[in-house]
Amino acid sequence: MKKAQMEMMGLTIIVVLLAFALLFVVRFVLLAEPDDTKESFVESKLAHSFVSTLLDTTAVDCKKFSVEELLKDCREGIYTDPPLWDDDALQTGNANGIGTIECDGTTPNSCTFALTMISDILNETLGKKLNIDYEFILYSDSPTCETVKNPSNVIFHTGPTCPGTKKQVCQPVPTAVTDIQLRLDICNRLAET
Amino acid sequence: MKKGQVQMGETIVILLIFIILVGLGFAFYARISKIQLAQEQFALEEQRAIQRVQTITHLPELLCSTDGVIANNCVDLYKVIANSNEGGVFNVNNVFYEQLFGFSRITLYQLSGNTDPQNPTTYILYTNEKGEEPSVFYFPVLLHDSSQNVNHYALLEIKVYR
Amino acid sequence: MKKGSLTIQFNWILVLLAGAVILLFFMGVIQYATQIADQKRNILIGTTLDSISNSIKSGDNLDKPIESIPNINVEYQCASPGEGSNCKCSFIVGDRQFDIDDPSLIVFSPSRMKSPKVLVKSLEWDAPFRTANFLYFTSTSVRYIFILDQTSAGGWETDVLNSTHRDLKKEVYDASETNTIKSKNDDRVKFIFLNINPDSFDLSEFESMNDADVTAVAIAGDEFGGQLSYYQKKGSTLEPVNPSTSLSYRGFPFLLGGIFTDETSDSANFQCNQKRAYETLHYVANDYFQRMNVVETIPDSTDFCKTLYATAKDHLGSLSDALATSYQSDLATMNDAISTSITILDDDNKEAIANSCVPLY
Repeated sequence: MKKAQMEMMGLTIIVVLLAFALLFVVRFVLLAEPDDTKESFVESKLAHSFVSTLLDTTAVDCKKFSVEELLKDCREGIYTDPPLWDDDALQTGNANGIGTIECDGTTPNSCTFALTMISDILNETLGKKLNIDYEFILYSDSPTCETVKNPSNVIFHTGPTCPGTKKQVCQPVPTAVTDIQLRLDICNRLAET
Repeated sequence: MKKGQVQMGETIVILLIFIILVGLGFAFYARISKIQLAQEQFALEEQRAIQRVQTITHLPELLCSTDGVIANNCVDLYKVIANSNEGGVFNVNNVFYEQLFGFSRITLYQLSGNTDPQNPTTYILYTNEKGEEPSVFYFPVLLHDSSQNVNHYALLEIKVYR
Repeated sequence: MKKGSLTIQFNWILVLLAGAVILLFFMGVIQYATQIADQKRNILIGTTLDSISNSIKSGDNLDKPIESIPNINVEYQCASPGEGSNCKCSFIVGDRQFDIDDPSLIVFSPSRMKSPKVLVKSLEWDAPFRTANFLYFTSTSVRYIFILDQTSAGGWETDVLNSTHRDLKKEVYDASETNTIKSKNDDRVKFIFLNINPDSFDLSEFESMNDADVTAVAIAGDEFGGQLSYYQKKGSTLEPVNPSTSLSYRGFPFLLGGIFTDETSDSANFQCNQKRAYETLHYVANDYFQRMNVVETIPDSTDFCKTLYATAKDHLGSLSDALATSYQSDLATMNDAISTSITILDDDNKEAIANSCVPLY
């Protein structure tokens, strides 16, 4: 090869190397996703405190029992094979007559009361105010929150399954029968936009 | 042209091109540094907003307490009533609480135990808005009524303006 | 001149010019990089201080070293911005000042600290209701020497020793053993005399150290209250910073604050923080007073409760009023008002709880 051709090759190699370096810088520095401090803070605080606050809320119209006490009474009234309920079950009254607490009248209705309260609060806060999709499931006989729904274990379920990533919180509530698990999945808005 | 002059010219051109390349490289580095610094500055501003939020959600003037022991995630109903709306403590003692809250708006929505469920009670605790796009934070809290010994479910909304 | 020699000279001039340009260019790069590094350092320090504040707000009790602060001198000072305003405190790192804007954070710190290991500890202040969080900064470059009469020491001295930072460089000596205290080439030394008079204390072991690096505080009192007197080394003795005055404190959190604060003839860091704390208490007490206004309107309260609410309202109002002008009032007067109110309100609250009234706090 002639000397000039060698020099041209050398220049070409340098330009190619510079182009590669530039590509890496653009990809990993300029296009790097920034840490979203606020979203991580909010998601960690929101999910955790949501469930614990819910359990301590007083059902003012149900003899001032807390939601946790009503859920315990509900579960202790279901001895074996809890049915799969959804929102409609509350409307059709399938949840009535279970447990011992009579919130109003003479029929025990701790299940209906607690689940209606939970449903309303979830809808008002996550649904309307925060405009976030969520899924809430009340499990029975589970040592931990299961990732796959087992219909015979589900006492109550509301909301669609999160399509993408989510923040999941599990809160166990011990009862005289078995532990019940409250699982709240707050769908991740970032992943979906 | 003589050979020496040609070589001189070559040397000058090489030096010039070298300086231009290094200059371009430095300008590029400066731009990246500026972007990174802006990102870090933004993260710091977000952290400051979170700090304001932490201050508000841990304020002794709002939180429930039992014999001096503060309970987190719980606000006292009578403190909320005393502090809410225009005559409230936070708005009257403006300078002091302005240091704490900055440009923000703090609202509490009572979502259970309302007389009229269709119109939940709303308490505006503090308002000092700047008009720009705020960061909005929501916190579920218990609104504790110590005379009835009941806890209502409430949502604390904090809008922090930059 | 021959053309050849002219060419050589021209070459050299060109080389020198090019070299100068390249050198200037790299100097510019270095200066820019230094500026960026300083800004990043300031952001890091700001973030570190913010995260400390956030931890406390989340309810964590802090007692840990801060290792993320770069190896640099950190200064702390409090100053009054003007007539009629309460004083403000700030950390100064390099040329950057970090103000402590949060009135619920009361920070006690030496006037100079050297990293890399800065220590921080927190303590909650209740008067009698939760009012503020106290932060105590120091560094491992300061050697703390506690001197007390171990034969007659009460429980509070032990509480003081057990309440200091976990990694604090501290030593404890009996008053009869002070002649065994030796210099260890420390950066700074602070003596703390617990109910011991430091007037005749001999500092000849520390004579070689700078006067400004050896200080002392004498505490006359106990965990509930007393007097603080600050001293500075002068030669081989300790001389009072303010011979005519000692500072009054009330409560254990302030006692601890007095240990970790420096006072000189032209600074008033401890008093400044006391006044900041009292200003916060004024507003918190006022808030509880307004709360009682609402509680009084609760229907179906018993007569006993109504009387109790009215009494408590008076006491809360008095406490708030006594601290209304904390930046102007005499600290001793405010201390007395607080001590009285804490006891009375505590009793009122116990009565309220025992009689099923709404608790006062």
